[in-house]
Amino acid sequence: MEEVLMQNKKKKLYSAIKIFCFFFLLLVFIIGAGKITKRKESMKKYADFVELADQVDVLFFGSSHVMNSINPVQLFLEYGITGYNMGKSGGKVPESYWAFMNALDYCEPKCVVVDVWALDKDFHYVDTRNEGESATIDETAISFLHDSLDYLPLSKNKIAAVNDLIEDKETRKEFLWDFVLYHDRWSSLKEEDFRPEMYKANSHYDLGSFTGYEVVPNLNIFQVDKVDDVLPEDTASVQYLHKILDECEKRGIKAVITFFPLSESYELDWMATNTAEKIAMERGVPFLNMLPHDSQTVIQYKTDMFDSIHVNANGMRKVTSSVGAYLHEVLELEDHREDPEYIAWEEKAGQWQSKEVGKLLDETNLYIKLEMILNLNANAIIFLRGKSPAFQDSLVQEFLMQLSGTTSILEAADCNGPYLLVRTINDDEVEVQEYVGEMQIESMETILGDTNYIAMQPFSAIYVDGNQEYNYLDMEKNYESSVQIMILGQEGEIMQQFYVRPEWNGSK
Amino acid sequence: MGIASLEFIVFIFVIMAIYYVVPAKLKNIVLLVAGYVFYGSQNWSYLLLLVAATLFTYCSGLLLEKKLDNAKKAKTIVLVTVIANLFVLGWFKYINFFTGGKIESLILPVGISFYLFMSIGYIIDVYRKTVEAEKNIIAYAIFVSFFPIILAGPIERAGNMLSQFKRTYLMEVKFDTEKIRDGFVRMLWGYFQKLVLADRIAVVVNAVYGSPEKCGGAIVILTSILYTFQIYFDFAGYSSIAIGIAKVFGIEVMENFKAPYLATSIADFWRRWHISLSSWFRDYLYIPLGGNRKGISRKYLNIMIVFLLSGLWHGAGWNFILWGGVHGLYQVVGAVVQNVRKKMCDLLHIREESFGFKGIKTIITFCLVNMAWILFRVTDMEQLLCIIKRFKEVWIWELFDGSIYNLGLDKANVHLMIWGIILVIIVDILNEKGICVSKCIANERLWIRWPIYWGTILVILLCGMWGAGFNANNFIYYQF
Repeated sequence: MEEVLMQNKKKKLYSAIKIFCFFFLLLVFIIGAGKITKRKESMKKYADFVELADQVDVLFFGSSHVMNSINPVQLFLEYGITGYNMGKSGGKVPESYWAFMNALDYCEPKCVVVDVWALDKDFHYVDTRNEGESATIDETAISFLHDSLDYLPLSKNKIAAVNDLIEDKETRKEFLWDFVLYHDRWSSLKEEDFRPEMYKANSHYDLGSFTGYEVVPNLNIFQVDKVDDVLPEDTASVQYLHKILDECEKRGIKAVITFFPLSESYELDWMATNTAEKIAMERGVPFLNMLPHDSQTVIQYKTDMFDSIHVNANGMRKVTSSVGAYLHEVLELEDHREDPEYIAWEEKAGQWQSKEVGKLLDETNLYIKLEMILNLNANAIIFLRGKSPAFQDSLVQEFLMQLSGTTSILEAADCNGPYLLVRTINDDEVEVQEYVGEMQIESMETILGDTNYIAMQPFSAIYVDGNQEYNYLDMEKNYESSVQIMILGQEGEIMQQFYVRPEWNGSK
Repeated sequence: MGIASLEFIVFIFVIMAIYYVVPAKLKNIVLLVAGYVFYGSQNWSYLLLLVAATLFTYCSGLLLEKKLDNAKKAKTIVLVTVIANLFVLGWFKYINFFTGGKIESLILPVGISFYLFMSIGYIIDVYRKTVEAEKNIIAYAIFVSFFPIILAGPIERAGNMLSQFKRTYLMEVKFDTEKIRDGFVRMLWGYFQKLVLADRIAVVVNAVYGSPEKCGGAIVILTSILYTFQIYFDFAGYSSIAIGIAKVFGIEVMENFKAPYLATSIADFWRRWHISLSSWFRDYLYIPLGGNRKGISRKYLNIMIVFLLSGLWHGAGWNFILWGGVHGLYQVVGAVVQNVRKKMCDLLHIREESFGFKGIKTIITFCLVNMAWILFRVTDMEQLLCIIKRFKEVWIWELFDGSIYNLGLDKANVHLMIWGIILVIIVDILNEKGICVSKCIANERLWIRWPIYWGTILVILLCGMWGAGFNANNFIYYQF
């Protein structure tokens, strides 16, 4: 009898172990499948943040304006400030608040920069907006929120964020266990879904920022006249701004409010900035307002906008430099460039630079090429042949004026060229040599060496070190080319010779 | 809480844990509470209707048993109970249809057609003395509200179920790992049919039926075939889930589908399709109408009545009645030409039992069923005419020129759908030959068995059409 009981016990124990093993392994497989099918966009943006969080001194919150305006890599290269761009597409202040609260689980920043675009919005749910906005917008807003929350494991703050930002209970589920949503990706999986190391390699984010390179040839610039009104009531966004400032106060974090440039702005934007200014005064925090068209001198709309509301790489460089100067000089954030503990930031910067150089060499659009030369401070020789249509192109003129720091290109346009610009960087100092019109110069010193320059409208040449066998300007195969650009390395070695096709007619 | 939702899976595990942990005498309470919680989660206000229907039929049953000696009174009680149940069903489901839209239907309580039919079946069984009136109200309430079957059947019989809901029976239900495993495997098969296949096919079917005028004839024909599979996988999938869950709780529920598309005649099809409903109509309508006992003409009339009402049961719409009528007609015509067919076979020396002849009969039956399903699926006459018009413009190559990938499913999904259909057909053929695939797997060694189970679960989780539904277009990176 006892033996039977023992046997029964053993059998039950064996069954229990088997059931446990079955479900444990099943769970492992499900978790694995979840990791594979998960959309990697969020991880791409925040992987570096998770890795470097304990060294981050400043966090930038806001919308795509922030993503496109602040480049933390440049911030480090220029000022040694360690920052991360937490901006998210379509992100309003309530979303910034929750991004901030979740980021605090990872780091203790010394400073927080909050952009207050859409301060007038009086809702905190992203899935149910004001009446009149279509369902498509809701879905897009939900997808944007996934970009900023998916990287986070389940935590108290994440659950609170989801409950506060998503009204629909069904939709909440897809944030708390995203397998609910992403399992459908089984049919569109790529290699990077199976290889975690590829997320970052294929990322288009740089420490959370996103660079737009396009230049808008006929950008609409529209700025309403300044109004003095503030927003009529405490909107949800205003309330969440106060919550961010409260949290900063509580934790001893310096806060900065910003409003990044828009080439089109309306009364509401003014009212939002007036409100932000008022709050900043009341709370004793700085407000960097880049909205006003007349007084903002940070960017030039014509060359620095990706579209009417986002800055491009050129604008990003300028905004970052401006904000960085404030953080460095006024808020005295530390320079970590010489600190060996921050070697990882040096590495990221190095990776960014080589990636950008690669993009510069791959670029075929003249405007973007000029923008990138400017942006990367690359050594370059730019030649516009006589009667080139580029002389009459206002965007080319604008870029060349920014590259040279002079207005010589306008003189060249008057006489129809030729025009030569040799731009060299020595210890971060820009050295410019410009030659306008027909001429012949012998033995001038350029980055290429001892250079002879012959400039005639039908024919031009650059000979180096007396070697007249090799003309650095291609006057044979690319004779008709409107613009010739040579990208040069540190030692003057030619990295690329780029020719703008003869039929190029710019923005027309 | 839908049967294909995560909440339902969690619900099953929680109820199962409670069911096997509580003292045996409380198992019936657990089942009753589970049934009411599950039904209430659909819409709490309709729980009242369920409780009222349960109490009404329960009391009617008791009263009827007392009056069984008095034929007139007994008949009256049965009639009142049946009519009351049908009135409730009619009020909720058909009022709009029968008044030509003059009275708006209320929101249809889910599962009402199923539990009211079960109640009607019960009272008639008591009248026929095939079952005794249930004295234990909890057992009877579980019978009406048994959560695996309340939403979509099978339409169980009191004779089969009531004895299983008695406390004495439930007390004997032990935690039997093999039975529970079999139950879960059956559920997996159901979820595979429903989530991986039926809901996937639905994407194509909805796209084509949504705008048939934009599709070629070949695609429309293919879609009608796909719909034939969709409705089978959907309904049979649900039945498998219900049967599987019941098994997990130690309750045996009747089979509802037996490889219906392998039927060799329409009559055979109805012996295999939605068996619980067709047998309900046979037992509670066809036979009381006289069945085949009152002459050939009356038999045909009875068949037509049964199938027209069966059509109406499926939905309050002329297309459903038409669909039922077509099936009735198929049967009548089949019976009329039966002798001619037999004589032809004799004349041509065709062996009716031969594989080839059976195959041809199966294909013809499938085609007839398939055509009738078009009536079932269309929403109005205009759509039906449009589809018929498309049939005249068949260009077979459009099946291979990639058009099918533009109907809401990409290549991988279409391939999955096709292989899934093939798999179910194979399983049905094996079942037909008496080979039970789940038993074969269960008899395999652990290292073969477990990966099959894991694989099936992962396929359902990954490829099943559940959850929010990822639409890459919503996730295209919009910076602006």
